[in-house]
Amino acid sequence: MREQLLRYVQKPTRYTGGEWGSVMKNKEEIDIRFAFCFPDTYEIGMSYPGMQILYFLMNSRPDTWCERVFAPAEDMEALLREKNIPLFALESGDSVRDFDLLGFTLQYEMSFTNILNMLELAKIPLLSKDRGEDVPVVCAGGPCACNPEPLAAFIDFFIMGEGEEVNLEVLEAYGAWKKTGGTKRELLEQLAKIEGIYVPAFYDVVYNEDGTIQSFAPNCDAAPKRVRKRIIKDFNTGFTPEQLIVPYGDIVHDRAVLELFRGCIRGCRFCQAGMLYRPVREKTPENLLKTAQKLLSATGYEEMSMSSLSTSDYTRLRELTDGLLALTEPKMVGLSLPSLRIDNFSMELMQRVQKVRKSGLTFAPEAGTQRMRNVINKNVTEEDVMRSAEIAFRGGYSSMKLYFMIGLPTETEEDCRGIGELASRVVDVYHSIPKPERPKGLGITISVSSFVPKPFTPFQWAAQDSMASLREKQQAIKGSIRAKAVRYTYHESTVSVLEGAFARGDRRLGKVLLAAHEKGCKFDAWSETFHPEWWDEAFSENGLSIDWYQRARGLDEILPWDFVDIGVTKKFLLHEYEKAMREETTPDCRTACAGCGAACFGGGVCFEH
Amino acid sequence: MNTKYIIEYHREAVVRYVSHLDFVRVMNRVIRRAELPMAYSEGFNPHPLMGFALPLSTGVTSSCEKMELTLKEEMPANEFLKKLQDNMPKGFTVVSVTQVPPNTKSPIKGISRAVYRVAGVQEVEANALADFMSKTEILVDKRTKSGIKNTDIRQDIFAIKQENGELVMELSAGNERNLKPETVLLAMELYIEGFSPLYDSIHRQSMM
Ligand code: SF4
Repeated sequence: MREQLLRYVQKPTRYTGGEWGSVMKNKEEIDIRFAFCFPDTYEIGMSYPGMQILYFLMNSRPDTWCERVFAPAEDMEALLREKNIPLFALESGDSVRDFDLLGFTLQYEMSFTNILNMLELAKIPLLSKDRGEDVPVVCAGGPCACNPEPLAAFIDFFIMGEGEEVNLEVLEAYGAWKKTGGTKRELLEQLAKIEGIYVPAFYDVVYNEDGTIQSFAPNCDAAPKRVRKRIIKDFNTGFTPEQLIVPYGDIVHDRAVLELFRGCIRGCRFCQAGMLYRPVREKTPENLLKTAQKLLSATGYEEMSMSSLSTSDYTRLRELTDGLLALTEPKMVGLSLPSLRIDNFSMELMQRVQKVRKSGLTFAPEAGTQRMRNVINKNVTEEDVMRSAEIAFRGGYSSMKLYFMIGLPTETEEDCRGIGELASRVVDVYHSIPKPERPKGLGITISVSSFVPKPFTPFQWAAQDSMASLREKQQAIKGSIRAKAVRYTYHESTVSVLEGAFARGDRRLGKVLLAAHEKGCKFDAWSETFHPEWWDEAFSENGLSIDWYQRARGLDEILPWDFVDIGVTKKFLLHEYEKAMREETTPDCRTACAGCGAACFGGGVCFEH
Repeated sequence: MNTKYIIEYHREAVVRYVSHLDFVRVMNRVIRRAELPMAYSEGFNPHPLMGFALPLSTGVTSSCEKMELTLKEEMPANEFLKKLQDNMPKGFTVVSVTQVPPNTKSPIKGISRAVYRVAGVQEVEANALADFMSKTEILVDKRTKSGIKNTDIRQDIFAIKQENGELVMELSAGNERNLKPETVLLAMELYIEGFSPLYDSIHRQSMM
């Protein structure tokens, strides 16, 4: 079927499959056909290393064939609709409708409408309750599954936390169920017994008149009261693919990726990933080097990058980078460094890695004043920034990008002006260095984005700043910039309000999502395809207001995601929120354990000593 | 000592949408996976010495592709072939590897013609085709470097015949002059009454 379409679309290799490393199997020998769906384009989906980990994991089972499905671009979607061809999977080209299981990965809220669109293109009923016994089972996982409620009506079951172990348990249970020929209900009851599985249909939500939740409780015996996320306790020896799919076309990140560790020791109060992936678990340099070697020879990639939430915190970084350089240099493989903390070590490393071009450096103070940085627990002092700037300038770097957020809880105009003032002092540092010792052509960029409160962070109760207030704050920042060498960029995002609504949303948003989809919303993360007016209609038609979702939450409210147990306790988050209000900081996990609750998993940084 | 090899390979239907640029990237990775002792260019950004006879249009299959790879040491041709084939994505099939004797003209240079087979086209009456070929000028809109231009393509068509329901065309191909089979089909639509330019597939059969 797809053969007839490829000639008419742009970038056809997005749809052909057959890339080096992709897995082909004989359908006759397969019991479970799993369609791994990424609700965005091929170029974006293929750049997420997580997808490839689970792809190779599931394909390691001889009875399972996991294939990939991406959101088709506009031209392909039009053809599929016109010729009435259902959405197909890349490897076999078979219709997704004929698979056993569909699994969506939820990486960002603004991809939710694409899920609905993909189901529709696959000719699968959108609502879970409308899908009969002969329709595939639809599941979802990934970071946004930590608050699954807005998608509760569309997804049969969610997988909470890391998938490397639980996905196999799900396949095992599915395989056993398929052999017995039971009903979907029976399957879901089996699955609900697996730790980390959430079946939304097994829970009832009752709302108060003001829209807050009165009660949230299971309605069947198979469903646990709370669903605990899964982690791989021994991350060091856990499943790591030694192969990757190497795309034909240009994708966003086309390189081998080495995941150094999961989690983050820092505890920035705005950061969801920092809490979701607790506790920090590292891989040893020995294991990483082995993996690096295998990945390079299996893929032939000319570039390798290290990935983690904060690479400078990797305990044996020097050992690792020395080993990696010894591996990559003779092979003429480029090592791309993530944003490391700027210090003598990283300068020396960058000197070695980028022998030619001195590109710009990035630095993320996140807030302009010490007070504000204390509130968000970004443990960076003004001195740190100035010292880093001096090291960078003396190291020959003339341009620097500083990242900030606005719309943070307790933020004042002074905090915003602090952003420009901080940049001015960085400029002063440059001028304080004698001319012969600094590079020419100073350029400082201030990059500002707006803060979106997320579940499972200490700011999950905070109000999201209004567009009007954010605009005023931008003016304050602009006014605070004195030096000519400072450039200001702001990502004006009307999307962020919507992102916030869905991040902290409840089940009632399912109707809004459905209405938005019916109006044609998709690819909402892209400004060209984002239609705020359609969304406004979708909210009002369903008697909901987007502002309501921006509001501050009461500390005693039942939050829609309270039933998910990520290890980090609500009590800890609340304690952190209160400390934030008192402008007190919390040390990182290695300096002193703050007792967040994640030690319950029995591994990682909590047991390092 | 640097040694040149000519690799002949096919591009089958499953990979026909891999563009020439993408194929260059594929080869760079094949070279690394196969750990070939490649010779590299001098300069700031050294790249493996690799040349192609004639880029193949996206969507076209071929059984006559040629590229030249330069190794920094000799390697038996059959060993070289195996290493390449083991590391090529399915659909690119290496059929031969031949060492180029020093100081001979490279077979990837100086290509000026190619033969294409167009399948799934409407049959043309022999007279109509002969008539078309007897024209001294065939004007058609053609995409050139400076946009779409009405161009005379007659001198770029060396032969067209019908064989087993396919149209076989020998056309200019190369850096100097180049004509795509699709353009010929469009011209045929203009000059032959009732001819439709629709087709199923195009295959490049030979280059010279
Ligand atoms: S329990 Fe302590 S060491 Fe473990 S993640 Fe929480 S704060 Fe960090």
